[in-house]
Amino acid sequence: MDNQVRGWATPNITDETLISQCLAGHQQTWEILLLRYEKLIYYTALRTGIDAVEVDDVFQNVCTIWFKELKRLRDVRSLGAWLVTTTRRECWARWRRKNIGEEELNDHLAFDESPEKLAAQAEDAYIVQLAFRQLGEPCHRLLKLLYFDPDPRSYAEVAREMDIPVNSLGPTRARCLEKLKSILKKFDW
Amino acid sequence: MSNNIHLSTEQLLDFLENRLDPATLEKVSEHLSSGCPDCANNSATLRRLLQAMEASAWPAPSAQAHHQAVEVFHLPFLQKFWERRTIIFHPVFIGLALIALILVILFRSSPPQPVYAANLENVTGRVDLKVTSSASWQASSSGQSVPLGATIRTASNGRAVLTFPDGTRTTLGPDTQLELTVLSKTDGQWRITITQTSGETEVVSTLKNTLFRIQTAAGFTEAREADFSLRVEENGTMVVSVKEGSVNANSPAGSLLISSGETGLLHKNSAPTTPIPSSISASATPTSTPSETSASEGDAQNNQATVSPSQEETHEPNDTSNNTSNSTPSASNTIESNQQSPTTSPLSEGTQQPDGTN
Repeated sequence: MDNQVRGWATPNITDETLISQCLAGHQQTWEILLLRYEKLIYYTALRTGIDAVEVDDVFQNVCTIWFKELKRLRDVRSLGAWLVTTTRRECWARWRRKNIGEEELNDHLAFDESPEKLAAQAEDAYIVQLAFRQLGEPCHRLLKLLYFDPDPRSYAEVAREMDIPVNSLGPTRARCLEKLKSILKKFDW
Repeated sequence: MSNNIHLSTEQLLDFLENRLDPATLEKVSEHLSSGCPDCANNSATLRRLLQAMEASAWPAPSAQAHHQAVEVFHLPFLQKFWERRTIIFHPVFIGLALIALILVILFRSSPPQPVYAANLENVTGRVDLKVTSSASWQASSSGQSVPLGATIRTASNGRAVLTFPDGTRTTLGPDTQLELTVLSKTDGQWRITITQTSGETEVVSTLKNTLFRIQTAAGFTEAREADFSLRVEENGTMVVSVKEGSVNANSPAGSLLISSGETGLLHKNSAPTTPIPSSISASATPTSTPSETSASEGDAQNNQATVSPSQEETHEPNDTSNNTSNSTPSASNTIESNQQSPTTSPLSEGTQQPDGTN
C-alpha cells in the first residue's frame, strides 16, 4: 500500500471510507475529516502571510470547496496535497486582489515545500502523536518539553526541569527518539 | 572521524538541529557525503521524525472556525436545488411560485421565526455569564436567559442547571465552562450544541427529535434521549458516562458507541478505548487495551480507570439508599495533571431531577 495512504489510514478509518460515509449523509464523518486535516489547511494559509483575520475566511472557503468536491475526491491519491494546493490558490487570489507589486507577490507565492511533502508531514505528525502517547517515562516528558511544547525551551531549562545534567540531555534525547522510532515501526512508519 | 565508523543517533540529531561545532560539523558532513547508506537512511528517518514533531505544533483553527466548517455539511441540499434549477422555468413551477408568493403576502403578518434561548436555573455559588465573546463576565442568577453564543462558567463553589426550550436539562458542576453554540429547531427537529472547555456536565435529554451535541477539544458526542455525563480532564481527555440511552463519541482517531451503564474515554490523538462498565471505572479498576499495554509507564495507562462522573447525581441529597455507588479516587494521573479526578462527582450534590424536583 502507498505509504501516505497506509499512514493516513491509521488507526482504523481511511479517508476513502470517511468520504463515502459523508456522501451517504453522515455528518460525523465530515467532522472527523475536518479534524484530520484542519491544521494542515490552517497552517498552509498562515504560511502565505495573509492577515490572521483572512486566514479564517480562507479556511472556511477551502472547507466549502472541499465539501462540494467530495465525490470527486474519493479517488484522489492524496487528499492532503489537494487541500494544500486549494488553500494556496485561495490565498493567492486574495493577494492578487490586493494589487500588490509583482515582486512582493512572488515572495508570497514562492514555496519551498511541495503540497505532497507538506501533506505527508501532517500525516506523519498524526502518526507520531499516536506513537508518542505510548512512550514511557522519562522519555515522554523529555520529548514533550523538547519538541511538543508550544513554548520552546533551551537545553539548560529542560535539563533543570528534568533534574538531569545538561551534558546528559543530548544522549538521553537520542535514546528517547530511538525508542519513539521503535514504537513507530508498529505503525508501519 | 573515520569514514568506516557510523554516525551515532546523537551526532545525527545534533547535525540536523545545527548543534555541532564547526570541526565536528565538517567531519559529519564529510561522512554523510561519502555515501554511507546506513547513516544516510538514519539521517533521513530522523529528519522526517523531527519534521513530524514540528508539524504537531502547527496551530489549529479556532473553535468558531471549526464549527462553521462543520456546518458546511448542510450545503449539498442547496447545491442539489441549484443543480435542478432548470425546473424553475417550468410553467407549473412558475404557477406554484406565484401561489406561494400570494400565500406569503397573505400571511406575512404571521409571527416572525422565534429566536430560542436557554435558561439558567438552580444557580448556587458563583456562576458567571458572558452574553457574547466580546462581552465581559457578569454574575448570573436563576431565571436568567442564556442566548446563543453565550458562555457560562462556574466557580469551584458554583453549580447551575441550563434548561433548553425542548426540555433538555444540562447540569453544570463546579469549575465548568461551556458555550451555547447551536440552538435551533427545523421541521420539528431540535439541534443543540454546547462547546465544553472544562469541568463536568450532566445531560438529560428526553426527546427523540433532539440531537444534543457536546463539542470538546478531544472530539464531540451526540445523543438523543439519553442521560449521560461528560467530563473534560485537564489534559483534554473526554470522559463520558452513560446512565440511560446511548452516546456516540467521536474523535479524529476514531469513534465509540457508549451504551447505558458504560464509561468511555476519548483522546484527540489516540484511538478511543473500549467502553467499560461505569461500575468498574467508578471503582478505579485498571483495564488495558492491547495498544495501551505497551505504554505501561507512559501516558496511555493514565487514560483508564477514571471516576464515573455522575452515578448518583440525581438522587435526593438525603436519600442514603442511593449512596452506595460513591465514586472512588481516580487512578488517572496524566503527566499534565496528577490530581484531576475528585473523589465524588462534582454534580453529585443538590442537582435537580429531570422533573424539576431536588
